[in-house]
Amino acid sequence: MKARLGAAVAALLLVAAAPAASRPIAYAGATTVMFDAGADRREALVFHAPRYWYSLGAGWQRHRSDDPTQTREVSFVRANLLARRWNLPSAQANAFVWGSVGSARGGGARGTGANAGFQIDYETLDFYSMLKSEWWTSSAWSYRSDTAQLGFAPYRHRYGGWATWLVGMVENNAGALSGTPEYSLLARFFNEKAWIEAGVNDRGDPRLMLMFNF
Amino acid sequence: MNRLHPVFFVSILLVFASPALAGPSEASARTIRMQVNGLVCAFCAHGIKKALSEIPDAGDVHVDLERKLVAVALNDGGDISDAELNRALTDAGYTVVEIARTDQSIDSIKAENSD
Repeated sequence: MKARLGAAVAALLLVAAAPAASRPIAYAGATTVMFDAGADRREALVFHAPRYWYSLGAGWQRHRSDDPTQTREVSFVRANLLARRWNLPSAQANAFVWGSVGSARGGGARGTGANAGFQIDYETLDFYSMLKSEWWTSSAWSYRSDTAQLGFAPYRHRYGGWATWLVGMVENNAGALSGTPEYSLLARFFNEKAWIEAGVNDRGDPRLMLMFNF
Repeated sequence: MNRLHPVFFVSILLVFASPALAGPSEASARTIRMQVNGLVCAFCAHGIKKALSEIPDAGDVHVDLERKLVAVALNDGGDISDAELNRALTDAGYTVVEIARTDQSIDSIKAENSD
């Protein structure tokens, strides 16, 4: 029974730490609101960045199961830190770290836990690459999620206009609900205030993400 | 007829030519141009416009990702020190490589890279 509760909490923490597709910090003074919806998942996040190098936020996520009794929800608070940035003549690279604590429930279980993660990215006006890893811990389980993205821009966007990117993504959650890597193809559109991302994974499941800066 | 010494004419020419040779003075500059490293994303670069717009003598701000250029128009009679510009861009998360003052208008700078 204790192992089952721990497994449920751990699964909820996995859901809680499911990553956003973009950077966790927009710019100094920005408040960012994000909504992410997939076939089996809903997520809402709000972050504020007092400085360009850190942000604080809170989030909620719901993971739907074919068995309604297994549908899960998690609420968490999170701190993001830009550990290092490289401003190059035609590129930018970043290294982020973060940590969160959450309250998870589902399948009759409720518990708390924590996660930590890091992300590195390298971007030009034509090319985007990102690697991300997160770890979770609860009373019974610890496991890890890895994500990689590669993106290409069919044209160079201008400030004040819309950017268009095609992004390939692979996500692997080792030791959690499923160890199968998930491959997705996404179309990303953004300007200085809004971000829209839509795509489909290798199972044919759609995904939509909206993000706004204020 | 007396002939004025050539040195006199050269001196007069230098007095009147020196402002043109030196470039726009702080009093005559209309726009500040900055070369900035790290400009690759409009979503993130909006912080630059936000930071510069809060400076009292700053007018219109132009961000050019292609040319890695940030230009800020100066309000009439105003100026912004290099230190303040560096601070604003650094606090926005970017690196300033070069700062130059020009009497070119910001509209003409925008037009340089328009289609």
